[in-house]
Amino acid sequence: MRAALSWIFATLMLSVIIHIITIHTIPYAVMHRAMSRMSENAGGVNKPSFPPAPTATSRGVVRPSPDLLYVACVYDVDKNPVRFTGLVPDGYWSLSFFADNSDNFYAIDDRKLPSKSVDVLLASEDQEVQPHPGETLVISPSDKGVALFRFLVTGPAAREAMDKLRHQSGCAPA
Amino acid sequence: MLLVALALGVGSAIWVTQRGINVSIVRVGPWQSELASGSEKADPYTRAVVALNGLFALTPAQSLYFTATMDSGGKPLMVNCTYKLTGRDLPARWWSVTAYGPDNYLIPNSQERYSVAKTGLLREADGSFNISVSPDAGAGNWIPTGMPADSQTFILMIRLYNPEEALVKNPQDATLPAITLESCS
Repeated sequence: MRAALSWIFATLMLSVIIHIITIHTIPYAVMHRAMSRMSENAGGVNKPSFPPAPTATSRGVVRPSPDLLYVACVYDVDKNPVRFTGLVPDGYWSLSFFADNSDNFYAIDDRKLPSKSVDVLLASEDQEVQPHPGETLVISPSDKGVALFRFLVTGPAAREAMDKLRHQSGCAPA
Repeated sequence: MLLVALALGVGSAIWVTQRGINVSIVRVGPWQSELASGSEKADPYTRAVVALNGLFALTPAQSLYFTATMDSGGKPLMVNCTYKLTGRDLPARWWSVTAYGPDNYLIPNSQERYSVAKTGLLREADGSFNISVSPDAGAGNWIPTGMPADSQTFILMIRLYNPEEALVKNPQDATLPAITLESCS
């Protein structure tokens, strides 16, 4: 009887530990899978990809917004900082960064920019970098992660122009 | 012992994330929002739920998300039913309502229409709006829910980009559209 109770107690303790590890691992696993797929589409890391407008056949990310066009960049700042540049439209636009645990650690939108262009230098915590004048320095809490440019498409008539504009966005090692 | 512990540990983690159980949910009628979405302050459960159901979600200061899986009467949203969303413009620079299947992807429909947004929305004389959510084409604002034969549930999501500061501070006070069940086929 005592042996059975000990077995049950040990099993429950072990299952609690596995439960906690699983919960903590899920965001990393989901991000890893998303980053693998996105970097494959872009032809590598620190390169932009320009996914088509989301439709019912899109399986890139869950709950995609059909009213946005995206530019995605899987970054790796392990060896070098990465520079993000692009032109900014009238209307909602944002550039957001997600660490390898899925946290959105930085975002900037068109209202916070002084001009119609963006220039962000992303570096790791241990890199000593000097941003260009007018360039925003952002420190990534993880070496790898994802940056997303979001372009709002307010209607079918605006889609083509917004698609052209998003192709002016990019990321590359600095 | 290890196999049993694995089954219990992983199984309970999946159950919790699928149920969306966490401590940072705000409910407004049939709508609910994960306030810690995307935040570095998110608890592990919220982070896991958001990674599975809303990867790349922005923080509330940038964008607020409300989802509904039930109508205002508390019944699950079904693709073979017709619903009417009634409300007024939402306090954000731009907003939209989108329908997703239970797999969290956009619902196939012949018109490739997936959302209704602030821009392009038809409004009544008093500024209010009605949005039909149904498998059949409706006059005016309409979000398709696919084919009735599918007979499955769906999800509605409101996105609010650049929400007003008062809404970010007190999302529980938001006035969101009512979801009224009209009929089922």
